[in-house]
Amino acid sequence: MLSRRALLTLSSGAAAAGISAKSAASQATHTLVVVFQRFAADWLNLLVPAGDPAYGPARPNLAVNTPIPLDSFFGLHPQLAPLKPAYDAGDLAFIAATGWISPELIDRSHFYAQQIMEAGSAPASDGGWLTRFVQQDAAFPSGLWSALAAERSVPNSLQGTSHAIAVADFNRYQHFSVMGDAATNAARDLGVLAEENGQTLVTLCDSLVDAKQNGYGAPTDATYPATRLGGGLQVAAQAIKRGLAPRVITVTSDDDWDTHVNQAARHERSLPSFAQALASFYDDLGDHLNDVTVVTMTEFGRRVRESAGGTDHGTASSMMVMSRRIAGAQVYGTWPGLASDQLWRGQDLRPTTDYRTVLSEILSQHMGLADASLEGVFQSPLVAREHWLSFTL
Amino acid sequence: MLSITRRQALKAVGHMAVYASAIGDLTKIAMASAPEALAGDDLDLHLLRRVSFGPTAAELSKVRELGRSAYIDQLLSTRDSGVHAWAVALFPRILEPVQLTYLTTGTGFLTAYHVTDLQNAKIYRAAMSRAQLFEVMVDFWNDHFNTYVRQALVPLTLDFDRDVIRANAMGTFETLLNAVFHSACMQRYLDNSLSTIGAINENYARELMELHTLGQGSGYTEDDVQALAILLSGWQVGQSAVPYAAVSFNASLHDPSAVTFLGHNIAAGATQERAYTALRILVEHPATAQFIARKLCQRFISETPSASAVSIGQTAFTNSGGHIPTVLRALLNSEAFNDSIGSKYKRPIDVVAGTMRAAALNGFDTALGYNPIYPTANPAYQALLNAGAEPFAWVSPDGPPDRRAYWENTNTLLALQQFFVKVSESTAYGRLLTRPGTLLGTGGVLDSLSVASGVARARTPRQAVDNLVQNLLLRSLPAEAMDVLYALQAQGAPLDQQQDAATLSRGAAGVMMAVLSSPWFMVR
Repeated sequence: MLSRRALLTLSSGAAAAGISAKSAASQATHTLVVVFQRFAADWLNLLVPAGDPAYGPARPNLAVNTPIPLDSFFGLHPQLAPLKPAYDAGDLAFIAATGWISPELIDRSHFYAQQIMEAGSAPASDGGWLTRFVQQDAAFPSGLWSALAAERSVPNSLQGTSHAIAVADFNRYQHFSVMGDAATNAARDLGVLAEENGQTLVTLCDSLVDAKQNGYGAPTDATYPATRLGGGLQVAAQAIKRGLAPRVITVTSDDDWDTHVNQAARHERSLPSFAQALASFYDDLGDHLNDVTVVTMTEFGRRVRESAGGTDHGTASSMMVMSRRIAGAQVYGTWPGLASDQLWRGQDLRPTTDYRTVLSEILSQHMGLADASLEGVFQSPLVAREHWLSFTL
Repeated sequence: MLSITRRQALKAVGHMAVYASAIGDLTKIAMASAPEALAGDDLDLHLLRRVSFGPTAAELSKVRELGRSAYIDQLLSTRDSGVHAWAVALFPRILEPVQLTYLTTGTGFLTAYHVTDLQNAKIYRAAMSRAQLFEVMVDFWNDHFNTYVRQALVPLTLDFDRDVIRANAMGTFETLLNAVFHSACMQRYLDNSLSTIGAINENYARELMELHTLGQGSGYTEDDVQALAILLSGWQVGQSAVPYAAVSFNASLHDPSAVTFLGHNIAAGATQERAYTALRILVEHPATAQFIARKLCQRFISETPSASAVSIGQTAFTNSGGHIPTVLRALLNSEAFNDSIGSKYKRPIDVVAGTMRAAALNGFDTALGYNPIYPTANPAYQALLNAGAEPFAWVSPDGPPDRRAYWENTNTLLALQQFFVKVSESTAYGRLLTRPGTLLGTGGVLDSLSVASGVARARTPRQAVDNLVQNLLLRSLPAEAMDVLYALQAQGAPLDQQQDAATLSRGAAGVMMAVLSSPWFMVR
């Protein structure tokens, strides 16, 4: 019997030749889930370049010495083991050494870097890249839940859409007033009277009625870690499985990424829940994963050389993509090397793939966005097909 | 993409199930309906929305009597020892030095009540203190010099809030910055206490320039970050019992290299003077005056303040040696301040404390709603937690944003709605409704003006709504909005027909939720 991986490797050739396996109809109902690892995850210790001779010496105390092998060069941090089944099934891929090209356009400020990553352009423009995608998406559905921030607030990447909805928890999605729907309706009417200033209130009231009628708080089929990422992915799974037709979903991972000090112990604590949240989502979705793509990003990587038991701010990081529509079980990208003369400014991993190139391939091949619209979303020539890594099916 | 605007869609489709048609609008909507329309044109109320956690009838009459300028002067020097005593009585751990906490909590177990005392005391003071501008500035500086209360096992934030922020909130910026530098809380939070020769850590150096003084994009370089990290190295935070969390300089751990920092050549040497020199350079840098002035403008005037407003603050900052009350006085008396009416949006703490103030819940009522065994069951705390604004718990050093686009979202609004329902239907409030005279004892003049007594005095649906709106907003609403509320209150009964108290207070609970959820309350 031909293994799934072998099949995927074959069909990845087809994808590379520009023959997309995904029909236009399913592209129109595909859901994109964007996970932002806030405050700079140290991907050098998540997707470990075990085959790079400069890796161990740069991190005498922090190097991950026994990673789970992924291929002949890369390994996975042992605490990310929950992700391995999805990888082995061909539903998970990594893209190594991603970031901004050219890297001199950003700096090492978390806040500035997050801002322009979410804007998708530097310097940061008004509104985010997901906002511009939604505006240019011919298939954008006409529902309350189409642009869903599965977190406490609407992130910058989605700001500027007039009806993005933020849901941190479906299980308490009601106000509990003794006056019930009458109070909801009155609040909604006040929102309408306040015109533009009332649109969030109107959206909230409409969604309260909709959620109550359709039981969106019902339990899901997997147990999620009690973290922001776990909670957000649970909301995302509820929305997808209950037919709310979300087109884009944002989720925040705040799994203690800013590891200036004490990194080894902090990763031991935070990586299992990070991986388990994604693994739970994977299990929960089942065949829905045919119509869902999860992609992760972080604002920059961390310094190659360790300092004071941790790592300071750096430049390139890596990305992860989860879907049935990818040629998974592979690490994509070009590894720039960790030897001193290979580093960006002598200190940092050099970005070899722009993160917008990765996102563009997904927007085009999974979400069905026309090529002509890609530059409108990212305002960068790096979105063109010639730069794609062909990880999509 | 449809060309129909959201406004047209809302008008066209009417009451229910509108969302299905209102989806065409994906353009960023200009604030076509001017915020002033929501805020009205009462500059006295405008002032109270900005210098306090929410207007009350008593404070409004004080502004009317004194005039705005004299009121600002008075408020700048107001402190409230009475509310301080109440806060200490209710939340006694806020006075506890961290050394004692370390000795009494088994080095970090059982510190949950320390954290909740700090958090609940903040809410209590925001709602109750007469020294409103002082509390607003304490909130501002705690956000500006953000730290995270659960960062260390033995929380260092109680001392930080008390001895660094509250002690210096209305002094000079330089004194405040130096106190922050010498705090165990900030040294630990930004990892500077682990930055030593051979293992330099840039975290504090970067954020000190980017977030605390100069501002991102003001011209400093990566080399300046690395130079400052060297100058700040060698500071230690005590880990042993006595004296726990003491901050000291250890010359042997300092990197003594000569560096160039922001154009200043700083000679080699292993002395603590090098850190002080760096702090002085930062305080005196013109970018700092501008950055702090801009941030104060963003807090008190507008998210996008004009260059002229910033320059008023910057000039006052420079001329007064960074004297904070002087800068505030200049900004609050400026034309730009008066022109900014209605341009800000309440953050969750403004909503929660503002609701307690608008509803005239007094100290006694609040104590009734507070359970010392389960301090996190406090509805105000729960609301902030679910809204994404748990006090002292913003993890990253930028501090919680004061931006409308961040806080105006459905999740935050729902958490606040749940709070409005708790307030309007809680036991304490219910008792006030039926017996306002007995439990509002300490409210004094507020008795006759409170929401509870307003509803209790009402005999008809119309009176209940009229009293509620006036008490909560201190002004009227457009007639169409009043009609919505009358209909909710009356539920089909004639508006001017007498109803029993239970029916009236049930309707009033819904009306209160609707009014407080509305943009007319959310405007700041």
